[in-house]
Amino acid sequence: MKLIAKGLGVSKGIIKGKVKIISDTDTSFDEGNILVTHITDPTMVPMMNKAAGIICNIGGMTSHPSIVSRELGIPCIVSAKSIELKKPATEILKNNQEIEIDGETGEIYLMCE
Amino acid sequence: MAKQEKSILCVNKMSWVSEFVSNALKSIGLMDIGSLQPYSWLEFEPLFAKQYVEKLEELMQKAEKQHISFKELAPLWPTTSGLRCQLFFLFTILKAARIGKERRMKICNSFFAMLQERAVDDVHGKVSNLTRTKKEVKLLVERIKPQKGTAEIAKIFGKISNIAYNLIAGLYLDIYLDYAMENEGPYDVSEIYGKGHTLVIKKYLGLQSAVWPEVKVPFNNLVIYCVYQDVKFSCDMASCHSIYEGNVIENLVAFALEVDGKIVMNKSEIENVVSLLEPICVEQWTYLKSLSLNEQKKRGLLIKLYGMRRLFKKGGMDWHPTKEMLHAVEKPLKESYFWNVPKEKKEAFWEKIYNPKIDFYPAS
Repeated sequence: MKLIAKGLGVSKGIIKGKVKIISDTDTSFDEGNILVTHITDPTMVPMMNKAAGIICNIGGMTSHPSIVSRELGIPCIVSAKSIELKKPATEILKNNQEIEIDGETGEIYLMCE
Repeated sequence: MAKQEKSILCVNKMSWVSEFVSNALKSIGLMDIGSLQPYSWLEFEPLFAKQYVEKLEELMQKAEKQHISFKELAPLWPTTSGLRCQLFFLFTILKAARIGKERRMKICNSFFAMLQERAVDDVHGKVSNLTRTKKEVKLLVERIKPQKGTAEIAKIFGKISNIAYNLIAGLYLDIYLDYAMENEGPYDVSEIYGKGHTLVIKKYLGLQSAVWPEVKVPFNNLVIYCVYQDVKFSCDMASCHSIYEGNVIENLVAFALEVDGKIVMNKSEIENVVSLLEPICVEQWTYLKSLSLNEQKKRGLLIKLYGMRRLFKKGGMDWHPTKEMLHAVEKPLKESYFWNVPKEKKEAFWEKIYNPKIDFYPAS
């Protein structure tokens, strides 16, 4: 495992799953995927209800994804950026990558590829 | 009238302002408002500040003439948290209306007096949102008769909370969300369930809003009652800002769901709420975003006043915006330059803006 990104952990829990970056054109989402987006909005509710965890580029302790992930009981990291270049999560993560996220420490690990 | 004057006097003596402002700064006063959709209160509310203040003052005068007390007015707010947030919004709207300190304080004191009537403890909403006495909580538990909780039910409730929260964001916008969504608690129910048990009430109210007659929602009110073991709940002045310490899925020991006053315990009926509301939530947000900015502002104004409709009715007034108010929101949103101050000066700057006792408001 390699630590590739870090953010603010806003909902506790450690989970492994496949990255799914949400875009306007692709709204497919499998149960257990880790939802990665700039910031969640209500159109993502069906995906959030299937997600094992949530990662956002921006946000704080009281942002939408933070509040709903605590209600859903799933880990969530907001303001997530790469360790080295501080690039936002949506720019460094790729669809179907296996990652582990820690919703307390805010750490995002890439599983061995 | 005597009762009303007594309340104001009480409030003044308590000098509640500094404590409320200080707590508001920690809760929402310094938050990043750039992500609020479709606009922030600081951009929007100054547009109609003058007319809103006039409407509030008319309401207060009518209430005084009719000897309506704060105790009678307080329950007419849809939620305690909504009232608390509206008091916070008053701080900037009163400054934007450019009225004097005496008028500002009279309105703020009235709102705080109503808040005092509603909150049984932690009036400022520092860590909780408590609106029921111990006796009322006991009677509530007897009425709803919670059933044994499971992780499966807790997960479904998580989905309902997610959907309802986001539906309300579409119906009440980010800024007026607390009119319709309220977390209550934590209530200690250790006398009923044993040591370490707390009750948290998650309310999603007014889903069938007159502001959106074209939107059909199958229920008006949803209330989720959760009894947790070893889960610590806290929130800030906006009770939707919930924080849990402990496992909300595994540690749900008892539950009840109330849909428009009817207690629902059957798993398939609870799941049905998810399937009915989920598409509406997405549709409403998509619809809101498709509206022109002018229409979004008009709806925002309607929402602001709709949340106070029962108070206006009590005072014998129409809650709808006046022509002047509707005209006022057609102006462009206010520029945000004045709140971009250096980080180290931010707290002191905002404290001066929010505090109704201080004549400071730099916006044009």
